Amino acid sequence: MTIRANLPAWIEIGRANIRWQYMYRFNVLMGILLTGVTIYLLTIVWRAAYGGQTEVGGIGIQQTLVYLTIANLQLYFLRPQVSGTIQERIREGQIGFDLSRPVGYPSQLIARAAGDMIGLLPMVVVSVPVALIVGELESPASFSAGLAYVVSFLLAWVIAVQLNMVIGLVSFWTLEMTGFEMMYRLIGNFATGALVPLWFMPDALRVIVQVLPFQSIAFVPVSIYVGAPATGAVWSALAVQVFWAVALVGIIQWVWERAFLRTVIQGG
Amino acid sequence: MPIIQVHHLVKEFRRPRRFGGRLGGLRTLFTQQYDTTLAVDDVSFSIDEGELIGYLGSNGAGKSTTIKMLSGILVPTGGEVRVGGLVPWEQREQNALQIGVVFGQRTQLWWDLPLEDSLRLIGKLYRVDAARYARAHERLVELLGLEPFLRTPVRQLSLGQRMRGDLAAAMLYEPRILYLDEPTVGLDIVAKERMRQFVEETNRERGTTIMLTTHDLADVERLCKRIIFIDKGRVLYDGSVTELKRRYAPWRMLEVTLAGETEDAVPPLGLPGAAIIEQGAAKLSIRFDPALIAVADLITVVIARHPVSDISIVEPDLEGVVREIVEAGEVRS
Repeated sequence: MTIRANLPAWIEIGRANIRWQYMYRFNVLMGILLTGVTIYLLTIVWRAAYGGQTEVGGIGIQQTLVYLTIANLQLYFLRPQVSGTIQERIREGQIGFDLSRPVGYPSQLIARAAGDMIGLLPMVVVSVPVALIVGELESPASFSAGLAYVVSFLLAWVIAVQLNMVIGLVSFWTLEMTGFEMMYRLIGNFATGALVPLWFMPDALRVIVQVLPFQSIAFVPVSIYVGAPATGAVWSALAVQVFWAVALVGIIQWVWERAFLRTVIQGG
Repeated sequence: MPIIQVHHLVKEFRRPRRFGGRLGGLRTLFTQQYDTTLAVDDVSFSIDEGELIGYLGSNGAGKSTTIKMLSGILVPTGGEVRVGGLVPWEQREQNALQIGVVFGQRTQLWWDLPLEDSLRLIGKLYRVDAARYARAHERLVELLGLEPFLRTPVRQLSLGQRMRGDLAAAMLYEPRILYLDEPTVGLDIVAKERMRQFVEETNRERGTTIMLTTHDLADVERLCKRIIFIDKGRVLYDGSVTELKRRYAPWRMLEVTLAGETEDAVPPLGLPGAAIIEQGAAKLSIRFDPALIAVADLITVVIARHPVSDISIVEPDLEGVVREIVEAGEVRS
């Protein structure tokens, strides 16, 4: 009922955000440059780490390099601006308008993030050739792995948005959260497995990373792509993502209800 | 049945105590001590459908805080509110559909989008169907003269244009209630007048209930029959503008310009309810109480005694009244 009533609003918010992406062309291109540099550096480091061997711990160098290239390439599309948006709106005192809409605030944020991501998608045309030059690209391990990857990528996007939203909602308490955000970026980035594949992590660390939601953003979809999901089965890898997507809906609901009670609109 | 009912509304803000001096920042971070301020302190009133009321008070009196609670974006510390039968902060989304909000100091339009796109987005957000949208859009574009800058990004609009855009956005989905928070702040005379005309027409022709918060008493004198005056979060006065003026300034002033200059002191008038309170070179200011003496009688006496070149009657203005209330901290009965 509410979904049908709100759908046109969500689509319109998304469309506005697609257009915004192209107002900030410089940002879009800088993002690709940064991704290219990251992939290039990781390739050098991991080649050196392999020290001329073609296989370490049963994992071939080619598979590792393809993993790292894909992981960082897709991360370019999985950096939602949700928490930044929330902070900006709170700091400028504009959050009041967002809250006074007949459409729930979290759903407005998801619609924005969807618009951002869709707006970035055409950049595949630029980012894939860049990745091809600086890193290693290969087609998915199999046709079914490719299909599963698409599903897993979408789930990764959902989880990335949700996690970013939880972080952003904390601004309702702190008003300022640059430090918190930095910590999140550092831990979050590492724990996605985009810098070090989980299969190379020491057991204790890997267990920690596997119980955290971040691996769903990079490691889970990319390991499916290269045909090496952690548990060996694609469906159980997807199940982990579904679990987090559902759990985060509950977490967001819980945080949001409390955040709203804390609203202090700046100025006015 | 009133459309807005506010009953013993209280809003208390709690902030961690700030410390100055060395390591003050660190103490602020870890302190368990809070400073509390009562922004709204036991406010009660009710507003009937179709009323246009002025909600007055000085800076920090609690006006905006009240409006925020009425629009459901701030949860009160205590008290009850019903807007069109809804509790605004609990049924936030239904409430949003029946209210429009304009804040003079901010804009609800999207900074980077052309005005037209902002309006379309508002239309979708408030579930306005295509036919209704077309009708409302056409009416507002004409009434507010938006045509010349519909395609301009909001950030490039002048303040007056932007405010017109904001009014259009707030009325696009034809809400029953409109909250205007200092809508004329910073506008020039022409823009102010245009704004007032729009507010007046919206109230008169559509029957929209309007709650107007302002510092500009000219807005109130022009638009509102009833005012609610708050100071330090408390209601000091709730009633008609005429009644307030009557209590504070029952007299009028008769300003007389004499035909020639005179150095001599003018003798007292000797009339009940009238007195000369100021004498200039060619000017007399006479204060009189219309309840005690008719204007015509007074003028007859003045003209008989002095050669007069001009004469005018000055009504007391609300500004003086408000200044007096704020200084006294209470309203005379």
